[in-house]
Amino acid sequence: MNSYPTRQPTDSSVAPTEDSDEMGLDELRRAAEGIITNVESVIDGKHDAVQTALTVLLAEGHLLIEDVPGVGKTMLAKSLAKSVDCTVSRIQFTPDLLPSDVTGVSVYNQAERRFEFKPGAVFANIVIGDEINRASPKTQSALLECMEERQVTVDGTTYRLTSPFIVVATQNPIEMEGTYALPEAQRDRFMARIAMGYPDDASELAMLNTRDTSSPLSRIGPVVSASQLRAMMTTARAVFASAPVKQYAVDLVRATREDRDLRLGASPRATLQLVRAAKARAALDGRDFVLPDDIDALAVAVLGHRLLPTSRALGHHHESAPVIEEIVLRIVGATPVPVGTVGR
Amino acid sequence: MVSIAVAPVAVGLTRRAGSWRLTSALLLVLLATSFSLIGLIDGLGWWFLMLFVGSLILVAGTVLRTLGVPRVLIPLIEVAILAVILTLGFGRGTGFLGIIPTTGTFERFGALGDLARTSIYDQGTPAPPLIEFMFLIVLGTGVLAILLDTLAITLKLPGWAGLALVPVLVVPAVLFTGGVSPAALAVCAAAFLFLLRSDARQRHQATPRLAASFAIGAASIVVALVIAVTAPGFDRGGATSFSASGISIGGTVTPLIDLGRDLRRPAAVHVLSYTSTAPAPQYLKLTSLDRFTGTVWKHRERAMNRLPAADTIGHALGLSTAVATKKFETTVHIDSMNSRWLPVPFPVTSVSGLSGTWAWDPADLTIGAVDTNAAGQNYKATSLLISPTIAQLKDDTGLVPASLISDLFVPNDLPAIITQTAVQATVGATSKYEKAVALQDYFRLSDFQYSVDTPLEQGYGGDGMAVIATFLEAKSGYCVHFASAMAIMARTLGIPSRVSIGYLPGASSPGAFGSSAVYNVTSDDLHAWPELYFAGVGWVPFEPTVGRGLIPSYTRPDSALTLPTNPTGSATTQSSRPLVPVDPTTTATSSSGRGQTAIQPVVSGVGGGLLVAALLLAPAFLRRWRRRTRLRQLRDEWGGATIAWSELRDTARDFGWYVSDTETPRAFAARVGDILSDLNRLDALDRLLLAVERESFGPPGRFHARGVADDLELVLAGLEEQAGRIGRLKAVVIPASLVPSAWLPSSETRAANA
Repeated sequence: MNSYPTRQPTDSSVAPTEDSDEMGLDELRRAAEGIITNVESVIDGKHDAVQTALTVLLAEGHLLIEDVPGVGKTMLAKSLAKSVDCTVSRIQFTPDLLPSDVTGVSVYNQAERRFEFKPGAVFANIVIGDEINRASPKTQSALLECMEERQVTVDGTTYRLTSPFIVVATQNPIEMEGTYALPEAQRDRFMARIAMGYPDDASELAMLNTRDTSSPLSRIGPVVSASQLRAMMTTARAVFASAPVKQYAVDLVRATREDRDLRLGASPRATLQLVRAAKARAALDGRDFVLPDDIDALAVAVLGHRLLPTSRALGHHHESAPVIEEIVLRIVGATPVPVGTVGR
Repeated sequence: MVSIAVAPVAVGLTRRAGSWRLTSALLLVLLATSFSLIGLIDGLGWWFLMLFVGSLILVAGTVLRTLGVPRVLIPLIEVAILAVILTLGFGRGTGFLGIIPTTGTFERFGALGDLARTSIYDQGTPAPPLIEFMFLIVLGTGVLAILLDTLAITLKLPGWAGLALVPVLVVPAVLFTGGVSPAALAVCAAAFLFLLRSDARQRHQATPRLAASFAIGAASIVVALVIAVTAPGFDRGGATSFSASGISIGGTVTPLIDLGRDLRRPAAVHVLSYTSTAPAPQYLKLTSLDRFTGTVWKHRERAMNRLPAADTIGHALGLSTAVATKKFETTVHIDSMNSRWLPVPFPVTSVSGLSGTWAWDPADLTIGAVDTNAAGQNYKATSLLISPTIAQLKDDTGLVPASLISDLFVPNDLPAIITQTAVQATVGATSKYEKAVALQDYFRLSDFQYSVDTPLEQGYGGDGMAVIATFLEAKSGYCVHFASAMAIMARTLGIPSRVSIGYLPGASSPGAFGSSAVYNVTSDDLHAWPELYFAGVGWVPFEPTVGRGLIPSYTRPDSALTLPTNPTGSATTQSSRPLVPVDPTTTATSSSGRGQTAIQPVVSGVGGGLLVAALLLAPAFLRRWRRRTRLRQLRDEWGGATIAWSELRDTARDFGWYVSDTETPRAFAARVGDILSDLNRLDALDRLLLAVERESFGPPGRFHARGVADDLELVLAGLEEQAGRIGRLKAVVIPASLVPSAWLPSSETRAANA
């Protein structure tokens, strides 16, 4: 079934906007707490996932949520999108989804006798891509190009995407018929990959009590505006990352390239995004500088989906994610933290 | 939080504390100095006395200073304290009210001083703890303490305090044959360095060189010990067995004990070489010890005749023209011997070629230096070879010249065994000569054994009458025992006697024979033998020592007559040294002996103990130094949170934590926070963490932590409290943080901080 992009009819400015002014760290924190509270009112017991998701959002990165069906991937994406007063589009990826469905298409307007560009689903602040691995590679790559370049070129005309532009994609890790796993190069475009995990008993029970009657999504509304979100992003980007911390990130990423259990290490883009995400995390923590702890905390999420374990390391595991998580944690634990080497 | 406002108060306090620090340093110096005196006096009572007096005066000085007494008065008050101590201890009630010295007290002190002077001369080392020595110790310590206190604290010239130590160190240098042990010197040096450093600290409140000083001190101890172990000759002062005779010609404190010590020298030292025209090897005599005090044999002080230009020496006492004599020449080159006496064959008639001023003793023909030393001398001595017949010796009329009465002196309290043995050994002998021969035979033919070590092991090293009595029971000893025993026994039988010391003839060089043979004499050839006086013949040497020396021909009635050609038959051959070799393995055991030679072991034991202590405590010192340096740095300026953090991590490592450098500050702080219960400490930890994070990773220049040192101390106190007693002790003694963490085997990866 074709699922056409839906658009929320709020603040539909397609044109790029200028960066908003910075907002204070305290204000940012308050806003972020509002978002988290909002999201957690529909998703129980997934604080870490929500936190990471918001971090990626603040870092203006794209988020890949990978987990088995029914654990709330889409719910997280949707509630996150709904918390921000901005344009949201949702694409349900299917094998027959066309690239033009994503990017948009030029149609001939007979009345005006000229081609007119009908923007695709990507022309939104937050794009939710459901089950991204069910689309054909061609469609996937159409989306992924937009993700990296933040622009769409149709019939020779380039259209810039909105800012912020964030793709939250979900996918099912268990290979099924008719799925096309994302190639490494395209996974690399996502800033982070998170897993939802099953909720604990209490959360699941609470969910039964609250969700039985109505969709919780309908109860929540936006808590921050798009301009506020942009200000938050600007603030997060301005967080200071010291030379030792940057060096630490570089060390960490290089270690993944040299690790014996990894067939493919993380890219320089990973380093960049690791530091960017760490800045966002620091901002969420109310700090104006990055700690190695930020890097550590995000290492699995940011690096995990870019790495390929060797078949020996993979062993008899069906899924690579837990194996990779173990490897990344080991690397993090073996990389010296530079304390006091710079500063005095 | 530190506040700048309290700084002046703190400075005042530290200045006061600095005075105490200097006082402690001075006490250490005093303690170190006292080590160099160990072995001079028996027991350890004097040592405690010394420390007591020294610390009393030093502490008094500091207390006075703290009370604000004018600087000028302090030495005077200290002198008064010393006077009171002396009056109390040695005044014998002559003092006013028992404590204030009067004229009588000073007279008593003078008498004690005189007594001390003669006792020093009489007593060997270690001397018994006589009252005059205690007086000297108290007086000397008091003066030293006052000097140290005045120089180092009042006049602020700690460098000059070193000068005050020199006289004290000279005492053992003069009285011990080997001088001051290098270990004791090193200890003194270390203490002195510590004093200098304490002074520098007090003045500048900076320049942390504590570890450096300790390193220097420890290093000097090590070097001194290494030298002492590898160079025995240096340790014992070479072949200078008579170097202690600086007091007067012929006067050494304990020549016979020195002799025994030289015999036990692990490696023989070449002393001299000579050629001789004598038909048989001759002993080289240094001097005779003719005064027996009951505890020691000494050379009697006599007027000496300057050697005239002709270098001729008077006639040998008691030698009649009837006795056949033959002149022979001995050409001597002295290699290494610092004796005041010249080794020559007895009786010598002339000496030529000497440099410096020399004099000869008319009584025993000993040649002594006036203003020079035997070392390096080349000279030719002409001596007489005396060949008395047995008839001449037997012809002794029994009359002893008045000048020799003192050579018959026997203490009243002579142990009975000596007299009895003398009588038993000479049963059947009628003439003095026969008695003398019987005595010699008693030693040589019964079951006496030669051993340089047994006397020490059994505690009778020496030459006093008590020692002789023990020797007669144990029947084991070396030449000193044989010679002094025979000499004193001869006296009980009415034969004038004295103990001669000198050298055995030594060994001729390989391949050289006859008159051109060069004889080499080493420290192993040191020897003592008795000389007995027979009217008409004069002083005649005997040889009671089993297995050593040459038996004079005139003491063997079977080959009784005339020339003693080649008495032992082999002395002129190259293997001529008629000695019982000193077993090098047994010499080692002598170091564990008691008595006089226990000085060296004690001193090296103390040195070794200090070395071990220094090595054991070095980590603790280094660790403490590091912490103090860091804390000082933290207090000196703002910031420095990373330094504080390093200290925190190091302390945790000392307490046995695994602290990896892959751990972020936050993760480590979480672990520390888990064990801190006190809220203040938790807050301090949080502030510390924030500071170190800001400093390490924050934007530069925007943040300077304050009060880091206080926060650090709070957290450290929490760590220490939690560690338990054993953990704290371990942390002090073996601080793990001294080993760089990179050297440690990396443990399993830490739990991720995530």
